Formats: sequence, C-alpha cells, structure tokens
Amino acid sequence: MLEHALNIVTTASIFFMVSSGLLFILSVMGVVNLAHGAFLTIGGYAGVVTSQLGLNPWLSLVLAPLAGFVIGLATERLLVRRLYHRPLDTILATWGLSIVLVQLLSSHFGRSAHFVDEIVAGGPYEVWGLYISPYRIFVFAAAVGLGTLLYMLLRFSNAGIIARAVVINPELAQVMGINTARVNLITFGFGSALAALAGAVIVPMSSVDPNMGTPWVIAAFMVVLASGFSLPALAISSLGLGAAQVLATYYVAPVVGSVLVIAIPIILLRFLPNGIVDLLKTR
Amino acid sequence: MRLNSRGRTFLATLALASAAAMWSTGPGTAQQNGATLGFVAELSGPASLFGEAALQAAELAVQEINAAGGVLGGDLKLAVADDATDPNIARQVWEKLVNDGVNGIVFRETSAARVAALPIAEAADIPAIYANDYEGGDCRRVLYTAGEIEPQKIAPYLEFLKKKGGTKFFILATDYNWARITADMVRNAAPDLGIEIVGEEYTPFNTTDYGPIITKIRNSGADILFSGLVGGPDNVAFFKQARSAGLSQSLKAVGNIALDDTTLAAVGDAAAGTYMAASYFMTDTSESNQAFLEALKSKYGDNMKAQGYLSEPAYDAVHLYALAVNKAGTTDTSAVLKALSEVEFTKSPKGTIRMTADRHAAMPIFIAEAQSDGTYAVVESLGMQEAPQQCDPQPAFDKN
Repeated sequence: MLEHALNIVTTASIFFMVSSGLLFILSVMGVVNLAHGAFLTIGGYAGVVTSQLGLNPWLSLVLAPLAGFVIGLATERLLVRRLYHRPLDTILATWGLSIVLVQLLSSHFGRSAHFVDEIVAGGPYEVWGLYISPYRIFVFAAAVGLGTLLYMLLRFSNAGIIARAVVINPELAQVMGINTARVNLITFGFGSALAALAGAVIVPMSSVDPNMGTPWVIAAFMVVLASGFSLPALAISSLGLGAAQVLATYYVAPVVGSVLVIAIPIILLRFLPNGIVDLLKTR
Repeated sequence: MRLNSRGRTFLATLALASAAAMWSTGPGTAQQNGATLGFVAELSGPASLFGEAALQAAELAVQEINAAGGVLGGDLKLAVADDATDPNIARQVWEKLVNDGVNGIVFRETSAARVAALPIAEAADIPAIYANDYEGGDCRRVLYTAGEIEPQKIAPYLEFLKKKGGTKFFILATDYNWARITADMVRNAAPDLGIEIVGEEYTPFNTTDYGPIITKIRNSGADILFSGLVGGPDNVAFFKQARSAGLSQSLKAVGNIALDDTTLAAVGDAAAGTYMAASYFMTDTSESNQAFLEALKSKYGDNMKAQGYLSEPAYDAVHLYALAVNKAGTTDTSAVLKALSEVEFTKSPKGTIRMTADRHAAMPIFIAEAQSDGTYAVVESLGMQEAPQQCDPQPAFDKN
C-alpha cells in the first residue's frame, strides 16, 4: 500500500509541474496553448545542451525556463497576439507552431533520443521495504516548492493580483487601467517558462527526443480541465488523476490507466462545469 | 465516339508504341548483361536511422559485387527509393520500381509496409528480399528473408538467461503486434525449458510513467525480466525509472529482445548489464565485421551511419541476390527464386548466412551485454541457428 502511495505522489508531482504553465495561459488569456508540449521539449533539450557543453546539469534548471520565457514572449508577440478572441484559430496556430518547433529540433539535433547527464542520479534508499530514490524526493520537493512559490506570487505580489483581476473580469480590468496586452505577453512567457522547466525536471525519467512533449501534453490538458483556475484545485486534480493512473495500471492494465486520465475529467465536467474549483468555492 | 481515319491511325500508333515501351522495359527481357535491383528503405520519417544505415550497407555491397565482376557479365545497378516510413508511400514507390523494370527488390521496411507492398512484387513476379528482422511466418513465394526471425533465437536466448540464475520470468512488452507475438513465443517455449512466467505486462507506446509497472515486477518475485519494449522513448523511460527505483537489485538479469544499438546509446548506463540477442552487433570484434566497418568508413567517412541488426541485413541481402543471379545465369524469376534457396554468403560481417528451402535464413546469433558507455559488447555466440521451418519447403518456383 505504501509503495502505491509513493508512486501516486511521484506521478502527481509530475502532473502538477507539467500542467501549471498550461493552467496559467488558459486561465489568464483563454488561450489553449497546443505548443505546450513543444515548450516542454525545449526544456528537455536545455539538458541536452548543458550535457553537450559539459556544464553542470543543474544549470539546465535555469537555462530551460529562460529559453521557454524568451520563446514564449516571441510567440505571443508574433502569433498569439494577432489571434485574440479567435480561440479556434489560436489552437490551430499553436498546433502549427509546435510542429515547426519539433521539426527545427529534429533537424538540428537529430531525430533519435539523446543521452543527457542527469540532475539527480543514484540508487534508491531502502526504508521499511520501500525504495525511495533521490529523484523521487527531488520531484516531490520541486512540485511542492513550485506550488508554494506560485501561490505566494498570485496571492501577495502585484503581478499576481493583476493576473487574478484579468482572470475574473478582463474588460473591467482594462477599464481600471490594467494593460491587458502586457499582462497577456508576460503570462504567455511565464507559462512557457513553466513548461520548459517541467521538461528539464522530467529528463531523468524520460526519453529526450523531439517528440518527448507529446504524451505529456495530453495528461497536462486533462489535469487542467479537471481543475479549473486555482492552484489548490490543480494539486487535487493532479493527485486524483495520478492515483487513478497508478492504481489502474497496477491492478488492471496500463491502457486502462491512460484511458482513466482522459475519461475522469470528461465525466467530472458533466457535474462540475468549471472543474474542481467549483467544489472549493461552494464552501 | 466517332473518329476520322487520321485519328484512328494516331490512336493505333499510340497503342503500338506504348505496347512496345512496356515490352522493352518489362522485367527480365533482353537484359542479359547486368541487373537492376530495387532498394526500398525508410530514408525519411521515424525509422530513417535504420533506413539510411541500410542504404549505406546496400551501396557498399553493390560496390563490392561490381569490383568482383558484377552479375551476368555486367554491373549490378541499385535503384533506390524512400518509403518515408509509410505503407501507402511504400506501395507507390514499389509500383514505380516495377514500372521502371527492376529485376528484384531488396527492402528494409516495417512489417506494415511489407504487407502493403508485397502484392506488387507478386503481381509483377519479381523476387523480393526482406532485409529486416521480423516475427516469421510470411510465406509468399517471391519473398525471401535475409534478416533473423524471432523463432530462431527465442529458445536459445531463454536458456542463456536461465543460466544467469533464475527460472521465474516476467515479460514486459510494448502493446503491439510484433511484441505480442514474440511474448507468445516466450510463453510457449517456457515450460519445456523449465521456466515459469510469473507475470506479464503490456504497455502502450509512449508510456511515460513506469512506476507502477516497476512495483509490479518487483512484487512478482521474478528473477529475470524479459523485455520486449520497442523504440527509443519507452526503453529510455523504462530503464531510467527502473534504475532510479533500484529494480536491478531484485532481478538477476534483464534480457532485451528489441533494444537495438542506437537506442541503447540514448539509454546510456541505465541499461548497463542487460542482455540482447541478435545476429549482428556493430561492436562485434570479429575479423569479418572489422573489415565491413573499415570498408564503410573509407566509403562514407564521417557520414558513416551506425550499423545494427536492423540495417546490416541489407548488405547480406544484396550479396545473396547477386550470388543467386550468377548461380541462375539469368534474371528470370523462377530460376532466381530457385537459386536463392540454395545460396550461401560466407563473407557476411556476422559470419556465414545460408538461405533455406523455406525462404528464410540460417545465421549465427550472438548475445551481447550492455556496457555503461551505452554500447553492446558481444559476450557469447549461440552458434549457427537454423530458422525453424516457417513455410512449405518445396514451393512452386514457377508461377502457376
């Protein structure tokens, strides 16, 4: 039982990290960013670059969000900005962008998987018959740290208050003198940086190849759909879907685990149209 | 439709001309000097790593054959086509090659492309040599297989793994046709070898989270993991997570069946100590392999691609075709098919490869151990392994 709990916490931590960037962009801008997986892949390639340059692998945790932020800003200015209030077109445009980014990575780095020096390596510690690896501790700490940091930012910083104002009522926020264009620009850059950071964090457990983001982007979407705009709701959603995936994979079949991650949010939205956030608000 | 006499003459001339054109480019006609061999591989798309390496191996073989006198007193020419790792495109390029009048086709493609394209070779009645590893059992009369098939290595490989100290096996494989068929072979071979299968798990392509699977393998009490995980992403993800979870501490050995050299390089030292069985490893130190690699190096220099058991068979296939054509003394299909069942190529990098009457190949199988630098080192030769009979051994070489 304890080892299931450990697997669930690890999977949930990764779900949380992978989906937080998507949540920000969707909530503040109303944009479904299908290039999320490509930004995640760019984060993974930050690890490839630091390995190839022979730098300390931990630098990838700085390089990745930096690269994600810059590319995110450029994407917002050149692409997304031109398609405000055209949600379907944004989906198409970001999908197209992700194809371009993946092909650029393929042609520069090659199509195959890359070997990357790992940020956290080493065998597991055995505690009460449980195998707890340093990487699991790292992922859990990274997710909790990131969650706390984001919560503080949203709650107590000026930028966070502005972002929340835009989420609640974009028109009113504009009337109050908030430059929504600038908020959108920074949000998109920030969301992309979070995606790239997640990409760098999952390198020690994932293949680093041009398509590494694809399987994650589906899980991230489902976690965000089930959650709604709220960090506590995102944490609950990650835990719930993580538990469903881990337990179904163990007791039924891996395919059922993957299917549940998609099926649960769909059923949930039938009863809670805004996601888990509805549950938190009714109190 | 009404036509005046000029129109009719024009049409008749056109028909005559096209008939003449078809006749002159038809296979096996008036071309007794040399032969043209079609070569189809994945030169783009997901499998292009293997396709490009196979093309280099095939081109080297053609160069060697022509330096040694060619075929039927002329040169062997290679007509290269790219199937883009797509069965539909495979059909199109096969049709084009057939229309161009190739005498035979050597191909390194997926099983899906093989199934899609082979009817074209059957209709055109030309030999097709499959230069790839597959699960066996495809018995169409124009098809020869120069690569290994799983049935010829599963049983000796299981025996080798058993000797590593365990009879309890866990099968982990990617959930698709080839891996399922291979897992069936393992399960069927197990009782006779005194092996107990204590668990089986099939994961979809691009599974990201192997945590629960690793827990399950550990809880099954297995000594040996038999892994049929296919492709880079899944192998890399599994081995990275297995190492971080310390799975190797509860297992005595891990035997892979689909972890090729290229993928291993990306896994790096996470898979160190695991085994693989194949007819060819690039790191094999045998004299014949060193000569093969030197020749590739001098032909392609820095552009030389890494070879493996999924690309090297192209080299053998082209040589086997040339041997068969020279033995038959003609490119005529019935004669070449008959000769193909009798030829033996002794200068293969893997040693000797001999075609069998049921259109598969006997060849040596090697066991290699993954090293911490992401390469394989050959640790044992299982010797020449006959392919268990797949097909009717006395096929009608003449088309009915």
